[in-house]
Amino acid sequence: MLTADRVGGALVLVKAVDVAVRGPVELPSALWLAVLALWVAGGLALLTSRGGFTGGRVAWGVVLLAGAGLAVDYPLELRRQHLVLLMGVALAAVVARHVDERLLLWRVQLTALYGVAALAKVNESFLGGDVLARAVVNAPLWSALLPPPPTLLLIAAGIALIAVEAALAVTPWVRRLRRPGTLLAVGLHGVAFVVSPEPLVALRLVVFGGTAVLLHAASAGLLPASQPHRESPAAVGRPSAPAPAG
Amino acid sequence: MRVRPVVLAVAVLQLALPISMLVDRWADEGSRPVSERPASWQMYSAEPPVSYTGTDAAGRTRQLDARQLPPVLRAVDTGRFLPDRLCARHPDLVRVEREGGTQPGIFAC
Repeated sequence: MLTADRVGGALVLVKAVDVAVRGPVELPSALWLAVLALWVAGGLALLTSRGGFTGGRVAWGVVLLAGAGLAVDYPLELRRQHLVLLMGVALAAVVARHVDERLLLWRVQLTALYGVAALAKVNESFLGGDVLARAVVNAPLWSALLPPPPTLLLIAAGIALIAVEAALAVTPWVRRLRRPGTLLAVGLHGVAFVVSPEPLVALRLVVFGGTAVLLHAASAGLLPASQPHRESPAAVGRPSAPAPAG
Repeated sequence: MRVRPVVLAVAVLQLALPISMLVDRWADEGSRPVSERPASWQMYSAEPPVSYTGTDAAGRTRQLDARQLPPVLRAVDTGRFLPDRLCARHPDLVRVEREGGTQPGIFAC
């Protein structure tokens, strides 16, 4: 069964590829290999764990440790939003004792992410189209397929983007808007992927967008928020679902 | 649902950290931000600083202020748009040099 933990595990493994490609910065090779092993172990544990909510919690704890190791190796890595988001998700999963707490923290995470992202864009550079113009000009995939967009389109796109992000800050809290919000998030992060300037950035955008969509999908009930639980079916976020045999 | 203190603390951290970073950026950089603070969800919201220097026919150079130009696209540093407008505003210049940004260069007027 596809669960938030399993999708999270796949995204952690994508991040492990990024870590492996980048190589060590500050740490000696042996320690850096240990950090990489933690990333792989955390990802695999999330993908394969059958330990229910508690097993997922432990696996997210390993991911949190892996993130701390990466920050020790290269403190500037913490400037990268995809890692901060992944660590926020892992921290929430470790702190929460049951699915309701986990979903509460994941929704707060979404509101903080999109709400502040929308507010941060309310400035002259973004509303004037400058930031989007740069993003488009620097995106090889976009510039290969499409002509440079006219200024008015950039300005309209900027305003629309702020509106979309503001909406995505609210949708997790309104039951009827959660599923449309998930679709909107898929579209938004899909566009961000298309305008990514280079393969490594695209990889990180997969982690960032994938994690954000994962939170929306879990919030909307499209994905069970944790692994199947042996003791109680309620712990997977679907109280009416029968407990899996395995 | 009763919220445990540790859950509340994490929720407050999730909100307070990026909001404080945003307030800090507004205090430092105002409505034309040039940086993105870490762990703050400020992606795609700032333009890095770019400076322009003009040179006249006698070889004299002076700093040019792009803020006098209309706000739309005035900070874009990836083409001729802004150098062309600086040349038009300062007819005595023979060239404009762009430093910083993603595509520095010298542009003949």
